[in-house]
Amino acid sequence: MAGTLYVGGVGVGPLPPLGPFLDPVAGVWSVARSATLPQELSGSIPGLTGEVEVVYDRRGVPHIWASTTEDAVRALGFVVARDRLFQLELQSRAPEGTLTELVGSAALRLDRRQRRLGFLWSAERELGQLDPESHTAKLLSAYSEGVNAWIDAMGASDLPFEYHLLHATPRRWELLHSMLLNKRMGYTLAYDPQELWRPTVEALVGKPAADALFPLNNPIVQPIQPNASPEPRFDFAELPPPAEASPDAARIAMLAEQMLPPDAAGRSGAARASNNWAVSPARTANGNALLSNDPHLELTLPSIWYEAHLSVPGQMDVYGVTIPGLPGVIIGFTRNVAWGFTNAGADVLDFYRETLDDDEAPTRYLLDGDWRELERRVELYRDPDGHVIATDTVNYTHRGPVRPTDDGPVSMRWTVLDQPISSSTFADAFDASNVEEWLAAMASYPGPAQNMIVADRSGSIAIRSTGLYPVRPDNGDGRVVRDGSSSANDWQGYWAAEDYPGAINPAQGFLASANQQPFDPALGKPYLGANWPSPWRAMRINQLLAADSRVTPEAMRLYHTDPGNVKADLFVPVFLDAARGRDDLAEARRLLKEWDRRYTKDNERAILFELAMNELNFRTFDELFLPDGRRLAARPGQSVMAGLLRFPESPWWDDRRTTDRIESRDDVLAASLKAALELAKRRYGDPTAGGWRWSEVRHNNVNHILGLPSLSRRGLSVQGGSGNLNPSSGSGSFGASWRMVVELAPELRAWATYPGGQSGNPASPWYANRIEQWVAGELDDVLFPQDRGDLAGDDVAGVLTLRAGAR
Amino acid sequence: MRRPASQVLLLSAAFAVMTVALGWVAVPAVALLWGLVARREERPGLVALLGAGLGWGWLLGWHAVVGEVGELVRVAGGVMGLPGVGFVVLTLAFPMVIAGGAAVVGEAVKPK
Repeated sequence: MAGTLYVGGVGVGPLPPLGPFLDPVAGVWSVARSATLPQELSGSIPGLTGEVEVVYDRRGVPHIWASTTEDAVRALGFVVARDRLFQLELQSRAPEGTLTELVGSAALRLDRRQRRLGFLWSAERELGQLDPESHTAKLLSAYSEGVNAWIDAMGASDLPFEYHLLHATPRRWELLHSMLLNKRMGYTLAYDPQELWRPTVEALVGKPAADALFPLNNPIVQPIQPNASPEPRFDFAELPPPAEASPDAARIAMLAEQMLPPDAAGRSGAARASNNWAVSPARTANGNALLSNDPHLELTLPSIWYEAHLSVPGQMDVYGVTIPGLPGVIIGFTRNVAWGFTNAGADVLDFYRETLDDDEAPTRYLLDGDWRELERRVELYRDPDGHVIATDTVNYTHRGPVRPTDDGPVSMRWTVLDQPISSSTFADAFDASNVEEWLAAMASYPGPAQNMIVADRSGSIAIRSTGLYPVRPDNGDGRVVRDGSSSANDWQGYWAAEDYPGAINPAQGFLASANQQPFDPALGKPYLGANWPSPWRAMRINQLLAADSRVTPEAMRLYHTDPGNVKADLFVPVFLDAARGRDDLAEARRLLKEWDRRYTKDNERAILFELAMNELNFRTFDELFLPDGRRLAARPGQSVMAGLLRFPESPWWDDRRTTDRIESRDDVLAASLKAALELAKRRYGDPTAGGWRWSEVRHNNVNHILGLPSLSRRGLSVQGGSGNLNPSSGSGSFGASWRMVVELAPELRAWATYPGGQSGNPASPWYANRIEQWVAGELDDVLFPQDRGDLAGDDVAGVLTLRAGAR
Repeated sequence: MRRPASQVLLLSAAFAVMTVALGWVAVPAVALLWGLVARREERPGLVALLGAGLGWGWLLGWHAVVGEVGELVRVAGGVMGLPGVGFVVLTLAFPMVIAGGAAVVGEAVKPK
């Protein structure tokens, strides 16, 4: 009994105290009571200037009817907190580096990394500079009031499941948390420190080869800003031969590994794969502009997105998805305009080698011959009881946080630490009645850098790669570590909006982006970034749109999960040629030839190609193996590999691990195919036994934000593979986080879904109810009522009335 | 002397009501009190054990009527490495062990 009481009151190991957890009234069981939405609800928010009515539709989407924009945002904060309170806290604590205060020392390493990146330093600086009378400040305050009103109004059954599990209580929402969350998005989308891993590659193969393997310009040219050619252009050139590995390679690799985030290898675009496109009325069946967006991000439960409609008569009428914690719609549409984003992947981060006055305890850094004071922050890490469990000191120059490296300390300048939250920019853009007004309003969009696509009801379409793009001295390359002792090496400002890559109403009648290089390199534009993702998806979208002059919303929906694969079209013939006439490859060749090059769920040959490509990569770029012999320092893009195919005798084809011969291209292709067949048989059995079916071998996983398996949905069979518009690769935990098709008809129509549900309550029918639909590639009809009265009957799941409350 | 079944029923109501009022700490408190007032031949430990299980059982039944218990049980059980039914059993066993023990302690310490 004593032991049970101890476990009940204190808990053991990772278990929460069982008493409060199992308590059938106030414990985790109470979560069952708040899982469904009551028909009628009421609440109060301090600061409301009038009554706000929130109508939840049959999909769990709140339609907020308010009399002012700030009231609508207050209500948004309230309803988001009601559905996603734990997510709000977790997502803001992550960039803040205070997860230890929620989950204990297990998060210390993660917290240290986040604090050293300077998010909290940057957010506090931003908050200090925020004019309280500004539109942004008012929106952030209103949102905060809404969230906190919900926290104040919560009953025992409203406490989210995760708080019961962690034996924690929610913290109040502050303006700072929204700013931190904005920076967290910057980390997700724009943290690609190439400067840190490139030295390893250079040590292994020499600088000229490293520059060619991870080139400034992608050798397959299909830019976001359309060029004169409707077809992709192939600017393939022979790669310089690899140099002998430097004796320092092992040491450099080890240091790079210490400084890079654990997911650094996947940050260069392999895991992220967003698409957006728009079609002019002349090329659509109904004569209306069409727009589509499917941003690919880490898939989580609850989802990163929350769907909402905000209506303020005469001021704002916007529908779309918001990120819990940010006061506004990020992707969506108004009555006149629809828009979406893909990640730009521009280089917005630089490192500077600093000269400090002391190796051990520096206080100053050298700039233009003078010693300047370092800004010193002592970071304290606390456990859930408030005890300090670790400390850290992070120094800052005027550029940003300083970190040690083998070559001495470097500071980091990163637009994410400079960029303010952009709530008012979006709010202003919601007034736009056409594409031109939208682009003008979004000219001040600060980031993270995105490819923004937009269409309007009059039939205009446009795209712009937007965000803060640094102007470097002499239009210099952003991939080098610069000398920090001279201010002449600092950024000299940001690009003007009119210089951004973009296009309006191009002659081809459509626009598309899929994270590819925005400009055609032939235009000779200043440095914007490097090592751009291979443009397979961009090529496929352009192929599909160019082939269809009567595009329908249904066709747009099907494109989201299109099984066609340009990469396979390019590589399969060369594998088949290399295997021709070889008896030992007859079976592999026959099996690969049977493939229709489509990644459908029931396809039984795609896996052979996937494995062959993987083998090809390792066998060709064996020079990039780290000294441990198990991993590559970095993987060149497959468009580089495609270029290499043109040079069958290139020294890169030689496998250095075989010392008795020099391999050619066809040797490596044949060996890769042979190894792939052997591996496929070993892993998946006989090719005719069903084990090779794509749905059996590749899955998507939508993990709970704490990684709890019973709250996750794993092993989902989806249509798509590496290089598809719906790629399924790696861990399978990345994918289309939101799918949307909008028809800019006189009466706008939209279809959408995301892999999850509106509620963060795992007992709720709206927790993961959309996943099945998402897996099938289906979309919901979106309800976008003009007036409150348009929502009635079965369309209404519940009504929440919000009134002004005491502060 | 009341019949044991009646005692279990009455005690279950006390456990349920007091849990609503005070939370889970009501379980050892009510059981201890019961141990102090019950006679040894009434087997206070066993009665408290059954009463606590039944009392929390009422509360779980109430959740089943007003809430989405099925999914919650699966999820919460999964977090603890248990099947759904295991989580229900754990929830009922927890107060039973505490109540049974507390009643025995109460019975043992009461003035003879």
